[in-house]
Amino acid sequence: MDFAVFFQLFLPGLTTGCVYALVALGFVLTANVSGVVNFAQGEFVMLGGVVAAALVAGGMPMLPAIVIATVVGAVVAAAQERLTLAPVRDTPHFIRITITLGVAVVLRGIALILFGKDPLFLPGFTGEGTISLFGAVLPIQSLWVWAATAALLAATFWFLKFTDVGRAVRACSINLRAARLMGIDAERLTLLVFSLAGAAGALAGVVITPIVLATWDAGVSYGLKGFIGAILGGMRNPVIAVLGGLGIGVVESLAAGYVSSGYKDAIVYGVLIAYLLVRGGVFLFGRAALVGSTGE
Amino acid sequence: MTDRARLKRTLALAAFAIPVIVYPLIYSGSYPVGVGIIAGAMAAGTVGFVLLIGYAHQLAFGQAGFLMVGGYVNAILSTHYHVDPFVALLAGVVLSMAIAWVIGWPIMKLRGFVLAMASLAMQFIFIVLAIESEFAGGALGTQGVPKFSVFGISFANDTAFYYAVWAIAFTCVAIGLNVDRSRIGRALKAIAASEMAAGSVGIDAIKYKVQMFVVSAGMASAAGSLGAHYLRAMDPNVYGFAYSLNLLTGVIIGGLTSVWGGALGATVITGLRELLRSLALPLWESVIMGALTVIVLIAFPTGLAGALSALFDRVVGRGGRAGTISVAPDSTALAPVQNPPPADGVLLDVRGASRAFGSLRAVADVSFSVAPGSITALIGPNGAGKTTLFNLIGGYQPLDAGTVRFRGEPIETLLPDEIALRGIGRTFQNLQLFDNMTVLENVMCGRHRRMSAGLLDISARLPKVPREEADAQRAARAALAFVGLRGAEDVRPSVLPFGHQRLVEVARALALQPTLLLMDEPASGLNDTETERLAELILRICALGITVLLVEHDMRLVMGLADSIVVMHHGVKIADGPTDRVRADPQVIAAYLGHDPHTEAHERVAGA
Amino acid sequence: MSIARVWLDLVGAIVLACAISTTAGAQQDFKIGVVESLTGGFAGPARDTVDGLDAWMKVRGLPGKKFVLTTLDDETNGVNAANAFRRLAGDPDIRLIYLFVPSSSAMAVKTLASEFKVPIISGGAADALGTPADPYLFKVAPATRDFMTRLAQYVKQKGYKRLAMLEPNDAFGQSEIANMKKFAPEYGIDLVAVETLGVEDTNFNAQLTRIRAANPDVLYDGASGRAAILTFKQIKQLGLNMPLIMGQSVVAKPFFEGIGGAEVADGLIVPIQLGTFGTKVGGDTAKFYAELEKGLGRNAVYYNTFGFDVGLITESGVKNSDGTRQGIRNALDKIKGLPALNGPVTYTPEDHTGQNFESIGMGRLEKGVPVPAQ
Repeated sequence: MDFAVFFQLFLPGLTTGCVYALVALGFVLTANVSGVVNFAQGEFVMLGGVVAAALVAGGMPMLPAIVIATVVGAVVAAAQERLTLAPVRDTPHFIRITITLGVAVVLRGIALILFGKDPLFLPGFTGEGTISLFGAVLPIQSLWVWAATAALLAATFWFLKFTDVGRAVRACSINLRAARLMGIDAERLTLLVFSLAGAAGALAGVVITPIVLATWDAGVSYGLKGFIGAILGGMRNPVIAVLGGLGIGVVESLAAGYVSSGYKDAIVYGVLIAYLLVRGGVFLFGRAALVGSTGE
Repeated sequence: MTDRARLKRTLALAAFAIPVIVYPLIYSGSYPVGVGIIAGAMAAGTVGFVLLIGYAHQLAFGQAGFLMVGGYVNAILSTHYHVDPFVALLAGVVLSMAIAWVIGWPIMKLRGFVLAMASLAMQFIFIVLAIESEFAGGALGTQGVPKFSVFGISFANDTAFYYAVWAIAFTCVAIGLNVDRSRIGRALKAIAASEMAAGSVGIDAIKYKVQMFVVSAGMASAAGSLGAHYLRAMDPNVYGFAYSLNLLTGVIIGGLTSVWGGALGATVITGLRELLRSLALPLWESVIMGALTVIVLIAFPTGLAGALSALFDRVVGRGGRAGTISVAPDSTALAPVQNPPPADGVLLDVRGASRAFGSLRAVADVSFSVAPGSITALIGPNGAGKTTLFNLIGGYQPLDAGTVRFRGEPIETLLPDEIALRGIGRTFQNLQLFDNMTVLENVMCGRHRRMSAGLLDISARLPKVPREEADAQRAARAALAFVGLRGAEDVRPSVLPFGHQRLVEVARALALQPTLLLMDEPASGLNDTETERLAELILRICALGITVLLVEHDMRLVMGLADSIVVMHHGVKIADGPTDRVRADPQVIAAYLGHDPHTEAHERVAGA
Repeated sequence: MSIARVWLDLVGAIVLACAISTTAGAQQDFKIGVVESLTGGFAGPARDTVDGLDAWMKVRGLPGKKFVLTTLDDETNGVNAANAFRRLAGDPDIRLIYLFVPSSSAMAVKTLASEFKVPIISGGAADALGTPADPYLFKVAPATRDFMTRLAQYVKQKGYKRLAMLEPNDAFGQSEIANMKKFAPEYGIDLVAVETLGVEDTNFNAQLTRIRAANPDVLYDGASGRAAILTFKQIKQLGLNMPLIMGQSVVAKPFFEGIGGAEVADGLIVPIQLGTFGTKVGGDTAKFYAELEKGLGRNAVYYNTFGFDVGLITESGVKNSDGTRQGIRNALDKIKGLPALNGPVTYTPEDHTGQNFESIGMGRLEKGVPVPAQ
């Protein structure tokens, strides 16, 4: 096996996987506190990308553009929660899920109207050059993606583990109803977590844009892959969700490189179904099969 | 079916069918009829989707994958092999149902959003296969698909095809309505309300979820076939992910509580899109569509069908208020147990049952047996492991070690519904009634395993189905009469007083015609009069030849009723035997009873 | 269910209103229906095409006739294209229909063409649009096989032996691959790598690594849109230095902006319709190109020239007929060697492709402008 080739496939896959991982994390955390799977999660990535690219193209320096794009992500996510989810807290979950799908459509449409259909360009934070790593050639921006992802993940897990609010979020993930009964203010917590997930998604969108450009319709694909990562974590476990997101990026790239670029998606999805079935213990029978069930 | 329900059904049919029939007569142009065809095909596809999401509570994000299967099977068979389009449609339906069945069995065992994802993955795999397959025409797809025809009778103009499409859509609706009012419809509602209680009356949750997945796949495939014959072409993008989301939005806007909701949603969403197209605001189209979805769902969470149903209730009145309930029980309403176990044997034999939760040994090496025809009580202080032991016997939790034999056969590896099928009924400490159905339907769920109509019989509503329904109704009314709830048939259980709700559970378990009835703290929450009536009811149940095993706190009740007693403490059995002997057991008195219940219990029985 | 009734009425009312408003002015107007991708991936090219058509109307048009266009969106999607076509064809006043949609959408309409018996002038490069010919559908611009023929000729002429292809997994890319697989042996070309990509993909390292391993003399990249930008950048990043040829759709502002400036693409080779070279090739092309730029009031891009040719074909079809649907069809079917911006147009009853490989040249980009490469 040629290691240079392996890393040329593995590392860019990891870079894409970073975005999937942050989206997956957003899915899991918002689902834990609100009980709803927010399918607009991928759109925050898109928003971060197009807002930052449009601002920089308009002449704004990089740093304020990044900050504004991130804030836009947080504000839009908070508005989504307040306007479309808070009023229907008690309706069945698939209705609220469909509402989030509707919100995603609206966000995409508004982005198309405001930013146009052409891909938007954002220069790399530290230039357009490349670096060589384990024999693989990568854009320098990859380092920024990895660093931003690592920082966001570290901050999130620190938040979950060592702050009172974070502990409250974890309590919600163990038992939402009990946590509410215990006096955790789920309303405020939900708003907070939505804003954070929106900000994290938007920031992911900003850092990846110099590599992949920003387009109004990019959120669908990020949302789907992130959702799959979150499902791997049973919509509950943030660590597995993050690993799942990274894994999807890597498997995608390796499958295209080593097997076939045409059948890449079929391979990723086939592997995924097989994994769920095996982990779910479906090949066991009778009583044993039900014990290993995943998710809710 | 009540008159009110019949009126509602007739109104729904008329309100939908009349516009559908009249529409092409008023708007006869190629375009408006075309829109009607698209709406009709989508309506056919949504009926099954409502059954899957609204009834079986399974979200699927890749449903358009089955439209793709139908579309491609038709495009290929009718274009390249000149197969009759209607035959090709049926072939696509069969293939889609087979795929759903193969995927459904393993997937439905998993919980959460796994089906949502698996169906999505399935659709993406179909798309890749279609793109990569030269035979299917690759990314360009298959063109030149012939017009629709049925056994050579072709639909020369679009209006004729329009009626053919809607005839198929209404057939799907009819199948959906037949399922809704059948034992399968009740089973699905039962699963949705309480999977545990559904298991207790012998309903196999996985089986019916898979069945609905299979039905929905078949209907979606038919819709895809019709679409391919309308478009006269099929390519991998026609039924892409966007179409899956369209279907989902359609059924949810239409309303998941009724099979009409799917057809309504499909019509509204198709019409709305064309209407927006006329506004010539291409960029704003999706924004308006998305915003409308959000607003409609926030305003009417039950969808348009739900809103219309609420309107009907406002105009016609809600109906179904509890009549005068005849509390006088009718002991002759139920027949004694047929095929009783031999009186000298052992009915239930538990050996070495153990179950630990982490380091807590909830049940440790418990052995006891229950004699046929007896009333056996399982007692012990809170946390002694009684309910856990019940759950082990009923199959709700797996045993770590030990065996459970019922009528000599091991049942410890069986699932709750399989155990129920063998003749073990149960009631729950925390009531587990199906509040999405009437009391009568709740009890009819108990008859589930006595009915044999399968999905095919029910879809076609063969004569056997109404006959069986009538039998089940009769039996359910008898069970209600037996427990003393005549007159409460048509209300939701939650409007009844608590004591009566307990009786509904007992009636539901009795409708199962069990040999052994497990009752988990039947007296909790009851007042004295109700407890007395319960004691009397248990004796009458026993008189039918049904063996009763109960967990109970109320010592007066236990001492007065039970032939034998099993005492548990901290997960272990500390005594068992005939009531008199256990009552005198010093260990029992010390560990649990703490005082001599003798006097009190006798007083109560004397008073009863 | 009363709601269903309400919208049925609404749809009906609007259809009726459209019908009334259109019949009113039918006498002096010449009505043309347009199915156009106003949204979706093909929206940009469709817009450019319509601009070119507008330029033709402005500088040439048809004396004594006022063109009225009724435009419907197909959202770059075959189902909607078929619907929009039905809706336009159902209007008896519409004499001619234009399709400014991608090939797959145009193919969905081709199936219906003979049923509605209305002449259609369609864009799209797919071979299957022009051959076998549908009596009512006439294609403009050369087909994929012509582009691949020109590409193969160029590769042979330059003395390259080993060709690698990177293509989108859509109808366009699959058709280019199929054609090149057919032509490669004829021209003595060794097709050493054929890689496909999803148009939504962003990471092409896998495909490019395999191409690098195949060690080609020349690489043809058929991607368009965002994928064209990203593949171009990643080809440069990976240091794939063999000569690079890309499809003509890259000669547009979004591509140059996305790669960081037009000069970054200097030296890139594109097979492109002659019209784009404008005055540099002389003859009819130069004449029409000057007219096009006059009508546009700015420099023309590829899809503008194509829209202008649609106008020229319309001109010929309407002038040589009684102006009925059938008459226009018959006139179009007889067009032989009609001078057009991108080279002469010829239709035969068997082949409705219109132009052929002779109307394609190889261009080399210099500051975003293609100049003849030979």
